[in-house]
Amino acid sequence: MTHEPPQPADPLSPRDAAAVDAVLARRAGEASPHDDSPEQIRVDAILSLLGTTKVVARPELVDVTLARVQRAAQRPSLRLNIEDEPGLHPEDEDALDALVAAGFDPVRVNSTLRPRAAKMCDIGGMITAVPLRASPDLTERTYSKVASLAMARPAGEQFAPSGGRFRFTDLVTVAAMITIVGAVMWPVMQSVRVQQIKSACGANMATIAAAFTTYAGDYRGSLPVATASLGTGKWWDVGTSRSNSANLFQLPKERYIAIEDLACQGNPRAIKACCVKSNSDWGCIQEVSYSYQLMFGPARPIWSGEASVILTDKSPVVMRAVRGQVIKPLENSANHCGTGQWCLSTDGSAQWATTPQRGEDNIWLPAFLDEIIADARRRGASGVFVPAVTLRGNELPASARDTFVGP
Amino acid sequence: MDHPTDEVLFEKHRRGDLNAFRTLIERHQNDLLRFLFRLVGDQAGAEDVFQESFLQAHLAAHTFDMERRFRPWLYTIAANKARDHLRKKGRRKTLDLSAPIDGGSSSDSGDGSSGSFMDLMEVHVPPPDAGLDRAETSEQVQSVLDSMPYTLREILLLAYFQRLSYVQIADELGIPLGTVKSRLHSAVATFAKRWKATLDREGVSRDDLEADDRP
Repeated sequence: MTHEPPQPADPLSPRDAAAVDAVLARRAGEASPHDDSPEQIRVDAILSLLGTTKVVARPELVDVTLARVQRAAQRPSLRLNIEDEPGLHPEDEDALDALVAAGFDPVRVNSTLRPRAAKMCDIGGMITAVPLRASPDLTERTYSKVASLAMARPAGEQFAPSGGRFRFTDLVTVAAMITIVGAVMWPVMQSVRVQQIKSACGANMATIAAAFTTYAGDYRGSLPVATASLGTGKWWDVGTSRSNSANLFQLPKERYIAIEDLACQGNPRAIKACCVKSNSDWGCIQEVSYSYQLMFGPARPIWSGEASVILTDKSPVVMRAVRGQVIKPLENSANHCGTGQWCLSTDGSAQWATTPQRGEDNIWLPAFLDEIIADARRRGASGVFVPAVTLRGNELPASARDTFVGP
Repeated sequence: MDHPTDEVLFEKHRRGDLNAFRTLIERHQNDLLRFLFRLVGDQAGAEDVFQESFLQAHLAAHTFDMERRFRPWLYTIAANKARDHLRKKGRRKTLDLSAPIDGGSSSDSGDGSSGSFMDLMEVHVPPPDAGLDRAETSEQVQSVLDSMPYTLREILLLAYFQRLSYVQIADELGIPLGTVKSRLHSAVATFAKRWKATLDREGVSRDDLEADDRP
């Protein structure tokens, strides 16, 4: 396709040319002679043809245009360019460079620029101060996602059975994958659950501490005691109302705490509801979740007194002793899968301990057994050597400072 | 007590020790979350990006150069994830109605600062224990940050949260050293100017604030 060269325009006659000039000047608002000559009338008529159109603006056109303008105005990326942003005062620029070079320590900036550098640090402090608390399970959620991903097959190795049918080998592969993923994920899931139980027990400790505080306020600093002497029984005889757990049971019985706040999620036999009015103790040792300082000794600890452990996760040593098994003094509570135990002190604080040994004091054992173990350790070649010791259920703490909990 | 570095923990993770990765997550949880909150503007979004960042760190573990530091690398990943998050959300940044609308001229129309240079000594910053409510100040700061272009906000937060040198920032962001300098200058000036405009617009004069600070 070829384009024809533009044809030269036909020249206007001098009178028509003058008429066009006059009409355009008049339309532009300029003063011009208006003589309504035939030439001007004709030019007017011809120009009027250009303005005739049947196009009518739709009423929404204005709204749509306005909306687009507003949207554009609200987009920083369209509205702003870095070049449009303000610059820093030259001395501020120098101060900022010096501050960055000084590792954001204004003291290391030279004295001339130091006030400006300090001001920049103040601004930074304002920006970085965020009154924010992460969701309690954020770490666990993040960790679980990464752990799940770590177990997944690498990308590009998608499982796709050929021909749209499963073959026997595919089924075997799927079964193997399920087994492997299950085997690998189990410890991960178990770890998540242990963390959850640990958090729940930490909350229980806070509730129990509050209950002890109220109880001690009502009983001149004393801690719950149901019976004054052990008699001929054993303090692990739960359900007889002469056990040590009956002492702790005073808290729910006298409505200082709900029975469910004394239940650890890690104890599958823990009871969360019972008629605390008509009972004086848990039904059996398996229902008990926390071990309480034995309160039959010569001197009982008092609340808010000298800090000593008063309550812990359930003692594994007592459970072994009750079953007639050899005890393991360094074993951790079964409440948290042997990872550790909470220890609530008489000052109201709770600590997570990964070993029952607190210096020379083992929280599961009375002082005389602690000494036997310490002696044996001193004599033994290995640092983890523990002699065979046993409990009979009538041992008592040597003093209020001797932590010895049960059942 | 044994306190392995981030890099040692990450190397352990690369060898399959997931517990090392948990320690890294716990160690960086608070700082990184605050950084992301400032970057994306809301806690739910910040927590999403937080998780995405650690997932990406896990996926890209093999690309990490053990000669480098882990923390800047993690923050750069987080900044990129935050950018993706905002883009996916289709939110260039919803401007707070109280935020300055005209980035270039607000100060010219009454905040008293020069149109071309921002003098930081004219900017009032409430002390941390000021009478002005801390949460309110934090919201105002967030509003100003939200109104800033992403590139400026990113470099400002990376600089203040990470305390990196220009060379390190240039290295992490992969941009020229000169650009880092000019961009950070511009970011500080923009923040200061808009912060000043925010205080002025809300009728909080420097004198008022100082009066609030007095016991």
